[in-house]
Amino acid sequence: MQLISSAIDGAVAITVHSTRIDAPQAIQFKDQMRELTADVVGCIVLDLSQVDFVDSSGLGAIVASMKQLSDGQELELAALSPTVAKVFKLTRMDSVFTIHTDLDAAAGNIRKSG
Amino acid sequence: MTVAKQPAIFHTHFTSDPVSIASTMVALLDCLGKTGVAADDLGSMEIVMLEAINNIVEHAYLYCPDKPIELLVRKLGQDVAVELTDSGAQMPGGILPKGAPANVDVPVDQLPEGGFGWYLIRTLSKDLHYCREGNENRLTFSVTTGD
Repeated sequence: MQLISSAIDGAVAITVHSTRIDAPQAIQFKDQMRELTADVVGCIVLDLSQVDFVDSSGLGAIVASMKQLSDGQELELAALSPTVAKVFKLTRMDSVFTIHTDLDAAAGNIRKSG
Repeated sequence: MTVAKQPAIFHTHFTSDPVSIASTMVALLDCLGKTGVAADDLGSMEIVMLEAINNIVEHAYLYCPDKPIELLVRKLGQDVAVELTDSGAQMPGGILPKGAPANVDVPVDQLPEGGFGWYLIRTLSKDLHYCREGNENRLTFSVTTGD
């Protein structure tokens, strides 16, 4: 699993280059998120456009990534696959995170509010 | 005709390691796709299957990677009936976890990072049943497709 952080309009996007965030990869995901978000100020958009599947461990790792942020940092999500969206909806985590259709929508939204 | 009398559409023995589990899931979803199960239902199937298998890996086998799991799948009309058998530790108390929904109406620092698995299984499946037979655990459930 590789996570790549890149600047987008008004925020930082972290793109997950893996088709899954599941039990075997959850710890690696959490560790990489901690490293890549350490110096970011403001909004971080987790780009899940390449992720087809998130299981309960992966969901837990995404929640943990939000909990380990510092003051002034926010985590939003973009580009959930139908199956990933289903896991967020059933666990009601869709009410916890701001979720964007895709990265462009996220950037536009942040630009407006910023 | 009961589900148990139907011939299996998918039957395999695999081991409790990530590579074996992943290739089994790819083959199963491919098989179900060919029988006409829609993408949305395949997603539900993948969620339930992997949560059930994760439970076996983590709790029955305590992450030992080379332990046997048997998977048998039958189809009866719109229902895909699954039987998972392992020879690991018994479910605590010999019964299935309740799988209550995790409470997300809490401050961020108190959000749950786990405890979603059995809730997802119970929500997306029906006829969920667990039994201990000799030194084996058998979990059976169905996922309704084509709603």
